[in-house]
Amino acid sequence: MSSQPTPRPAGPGDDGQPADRPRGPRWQVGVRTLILLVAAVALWTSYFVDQGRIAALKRQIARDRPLVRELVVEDPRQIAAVKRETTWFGENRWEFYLPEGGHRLCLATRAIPQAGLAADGASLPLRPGRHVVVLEQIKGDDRQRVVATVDGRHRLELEKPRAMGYSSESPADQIPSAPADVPLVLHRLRDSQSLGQGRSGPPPGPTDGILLWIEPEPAPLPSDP
Amino acid sequence: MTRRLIDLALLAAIVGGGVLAWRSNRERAALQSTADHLAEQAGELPLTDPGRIHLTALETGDPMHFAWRIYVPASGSSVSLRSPGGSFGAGWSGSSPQEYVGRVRFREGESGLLEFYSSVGTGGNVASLGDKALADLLRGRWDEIRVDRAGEGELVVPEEGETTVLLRLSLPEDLAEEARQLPSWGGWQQKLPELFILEITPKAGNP
Repeated sequence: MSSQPTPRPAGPGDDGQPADRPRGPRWQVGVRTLILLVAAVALWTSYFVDQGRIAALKRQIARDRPLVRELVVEDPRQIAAVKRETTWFGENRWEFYLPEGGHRLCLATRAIPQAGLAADGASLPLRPGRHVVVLEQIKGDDRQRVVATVDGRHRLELEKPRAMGYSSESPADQIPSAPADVPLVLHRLRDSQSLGQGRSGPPPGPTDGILLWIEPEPAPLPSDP
Repeated sequence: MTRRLIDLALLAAIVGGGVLAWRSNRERAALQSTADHLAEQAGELPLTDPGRIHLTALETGDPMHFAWRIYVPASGSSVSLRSPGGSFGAGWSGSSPQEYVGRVRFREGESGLLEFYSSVGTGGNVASLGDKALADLLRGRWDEIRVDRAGEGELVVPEEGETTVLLRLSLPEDLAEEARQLPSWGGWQQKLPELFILEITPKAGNP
């Protein structure tokens, strides 16, 4: 059964158009248009709801991430590092990621400058990938052993005199990613000295302390198979 | 003709909206996964009153290690802590609120004494708990100790001036009786069966 538009009787206002042409209300829409409209509204609503949820999740992640202190590798071509949560006094533990290209971990306890690196120390070549280093200070009578243990196996060990105090200048717990060819300082601690007039503190020049850093290695180790 | 143009515009809106909705849905799913993972590690701490201290206990998987997620409001807030090492205050300065993980951890030190590390206030400190006789008594028997910990499965929001026991360790009566018989010196036996207590009392902030 099909329906035909009902012819409208001619009247005084007609302008000669065919009498069988339907003339609905001005904003009348077809079923197809209605379906398209509903679909478009649904998709855009879903998009805006997601955007609101995404903003809330980003706020939540920004709040939680510093508490968890997990290593996040955003760019696998760069060095990434994070200082892990301290669970005992004086404990220092970092997790870091090394890209391809060859790197080594360096430790120094002498002539630690305010900025930059120390000339002398011990170093350990590292493979690309993720590593954990734990730095411990073991106190003796007048000397102190400083031990950096990498992945629970490899050790760097140096001695230093016991300090009357120190000034820790470690970078923030969340260490920003660094280019692979630039040294990355994990820990800088400079011992205090008597500065005269009853004052003490780290001197302006190099002094004893602890400097732990990662730098490019001229003779790189191969990646783990 | 006008209807056809409207349909085409709607179709374009559907295609554009569909692509955007698909992308944002994927982004939301990835972020949700990250957020869930972080919440498993750091717990969840909904803030009911940002002007007050909030805390909740975290699981560490180690019976000698206790942790709380703690929120401290903006500058001027402080807490006082009482532990066997004595009472001490801990203040927080800074113009913005802080959130961190506070810990109390016990272990036997190289000297054979039981030591605890506390980082509930600002900084961290280590002190001894009892003497060597107590460490010998508790070696291998830590699971017998009664543990009362605030914030276990709940949100704690202490009132100003209200003291909340964050952690109380006490000995069961038979173990406490054994401890009383030890030839020890020092004041720890007088507090038995209580072995360790850490309290938190929010104080009025500076205006």
